[in-house]
Amino acid sequence: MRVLAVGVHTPLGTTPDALWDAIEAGRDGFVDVERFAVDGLPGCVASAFSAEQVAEALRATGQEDPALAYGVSAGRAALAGCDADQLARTVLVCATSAGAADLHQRYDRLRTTDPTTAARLRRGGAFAGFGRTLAAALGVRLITTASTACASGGHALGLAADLLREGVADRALVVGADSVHPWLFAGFHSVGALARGRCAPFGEHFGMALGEGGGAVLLAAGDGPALGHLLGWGGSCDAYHVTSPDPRGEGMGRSLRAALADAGLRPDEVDAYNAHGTGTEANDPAETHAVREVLGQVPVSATKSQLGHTQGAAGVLEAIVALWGLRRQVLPPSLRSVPARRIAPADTVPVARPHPCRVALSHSAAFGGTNVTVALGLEPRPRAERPSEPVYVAGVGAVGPFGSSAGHALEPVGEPPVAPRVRVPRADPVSALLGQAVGAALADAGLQGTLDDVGLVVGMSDGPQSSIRRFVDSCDQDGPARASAAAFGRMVLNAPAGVAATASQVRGPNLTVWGERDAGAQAVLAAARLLRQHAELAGVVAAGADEVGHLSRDRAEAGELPAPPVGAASALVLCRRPGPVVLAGEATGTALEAVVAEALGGTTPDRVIDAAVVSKLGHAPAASGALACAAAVEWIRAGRAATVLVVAGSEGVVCALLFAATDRAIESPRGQR
Amino acid sequence: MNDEERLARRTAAVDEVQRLLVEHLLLEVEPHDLDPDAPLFGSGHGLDSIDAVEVAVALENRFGVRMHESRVESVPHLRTINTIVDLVLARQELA
Repeated sequence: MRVLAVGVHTPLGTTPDALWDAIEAGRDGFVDVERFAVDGLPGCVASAFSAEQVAEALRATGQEDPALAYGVSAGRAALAGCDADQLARTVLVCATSAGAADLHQRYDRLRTTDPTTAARLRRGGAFAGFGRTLAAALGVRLITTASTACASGGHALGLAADLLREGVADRALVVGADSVHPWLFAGFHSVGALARGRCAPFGEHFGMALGEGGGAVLLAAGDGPALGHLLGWGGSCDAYHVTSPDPRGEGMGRSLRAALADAGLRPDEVDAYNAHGTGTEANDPAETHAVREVLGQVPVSATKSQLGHTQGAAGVLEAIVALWGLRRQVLPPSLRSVPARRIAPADTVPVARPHPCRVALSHSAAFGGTNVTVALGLEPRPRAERPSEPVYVAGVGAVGPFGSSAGHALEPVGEPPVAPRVRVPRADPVSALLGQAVGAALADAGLQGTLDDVGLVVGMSDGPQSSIRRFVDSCDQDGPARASAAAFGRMVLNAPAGVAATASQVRGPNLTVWGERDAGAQAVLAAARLLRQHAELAGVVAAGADEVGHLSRDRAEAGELPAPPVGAASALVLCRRPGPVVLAGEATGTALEAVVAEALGGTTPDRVIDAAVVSKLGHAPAASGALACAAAVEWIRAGRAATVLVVAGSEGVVCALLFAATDRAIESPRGQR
Repeated sequence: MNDEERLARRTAAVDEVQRLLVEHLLLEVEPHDLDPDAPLFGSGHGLDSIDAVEVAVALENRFGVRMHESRVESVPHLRTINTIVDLVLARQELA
């Protein structure tokens, strides 16, 4: 994929050249944050904007939240050279960890006292509407938002790469953005991860330091002029612990290998490595082991020593820095990495230095044990065209008030099937539901043991509301210095995916997409693309899950929901191995008729399931899309239909998927469009 | 306070600590199934230092017992439910 343009909005610079000059000069963005104080913490050092700079960014972008403003600012810069026709053919993949955290907190404070403003925030960009809000401001079509905490940016680049490879669009804009927020300081303090002052990745002082900003990369398929190339990507899941990485770095190593394989690179072709390098006691040694094991001797740069940990923006910003390093033939530094700690890479590049380099890897890791690595290069590398392999459905699982069969829930016939109960230890409600649905689907597919070649893509909407509630209440009641560490680890959108992956030992790529009523269907679409585009994967589980919490109750009380909210989850195991049900067509877009026509490809389905109808069983926005797909599969397996079309939509986004009995499917299933 | 009252107070405190642990640590067991003498950390519950901090804060909030160690999981009072209850009862008798 060609990199056509990039945009940045960081305290070190708001153009890529200005940012690079600061990086090369060894400057950092760390200041004492003045926008807010966090009671009980000695001080808040982060690479952050001043109050005036934030106000200016909000004004210039017309946004109400810093993260949205940074995203719009970076996105606009990357799109500056596009004409109207090109904009119309550009899709958007966002990346964020907390989303619009300022709006989220404002919502929390106003939800009982000012319902009118609270409703506006809730329906706007405060939660799952983050991507929709960015897309509207940028004038491009939203696909989805990757929200895998600190790995979001890398995953968004990966999702965009797979979209372009499959011809879903000509151009994909990836925008990552997050802002610093009192909750983040309280949370990282509670897990004991904050440095005293600036962070020193691989250096002798432990701890991470926060940062904020936005980064954007405009990618295009095909040949032509380019700033550089996204050569490939790969991911993995440690399936080890909620907040700690596997200390041996085994999961990170699998992610690095997957990216090399996807890009067609040998380890010795990697000239530079941009580390996740947070500076924490847990991350840096684990990452050191992984890099030594997979890449051997390679210069290691840690951009978080300059930009801080910019959360969901980090993967995008660090890829931009890595690419600029290749363009300038200079290795970006890891400030304060000398004196080094006991376990550290041999060459941590304490100051920027000239170096011949053509290929760089940029790595990110996150809570939930998810890892992602992107490969960047100065020249494109020919990639073998993957034959259009069909995607089959090997298993389905569901859990909710309607029982454990999606098909039976929609149309009861005979006795409902009973799924095995899966043990999901130490889980909040949404994680337990997701873990059970994923486990049931894997059991249905006959998959067990350690599954290194199976990925997991989860759709989330209102997410782990009870853990968010618990964390925010602990901040408010016990004080930020005594915020709940356990709740902090569980409140990120991708924590349930980590719990489910750990319970079932699903250790392939692990992604969470954050959306509104399309989240479950987007997860199935992303899972299908992931499986087709990554030859090393035998299967990918797609799922959606919801719990009932304060946010969904607020929505219900305001009359925004078609039915009372319910806790539910559903999962499908997509695989390469032929089975009785095949994914015969798929499409996503803005216009229902065109999307349905594309998915059907001229056929007439026996049955149609609209996820909105599933919602009438009980409102579960993210689960409903996956549940509709699972029901379609069950009906086909039961011989009640040969082809079933599933439609799921949200404001401005429609997804359609056609499932078919394999023996009835049109000669060549339409994997690729 | 006679032995009967002492026993009743102890039983009530054990109940409450069991409930608090199950609720705060999202344990998948009935509160009464937690063995009051079994080690809490490094045991089959998979509890770690983050959980120890969680328990310490919850105990402080509920019973007013304070634990000021940088490595909370090494605090001797957090070893088992009964050691927590010892601390809680000692605190109640002081009050």
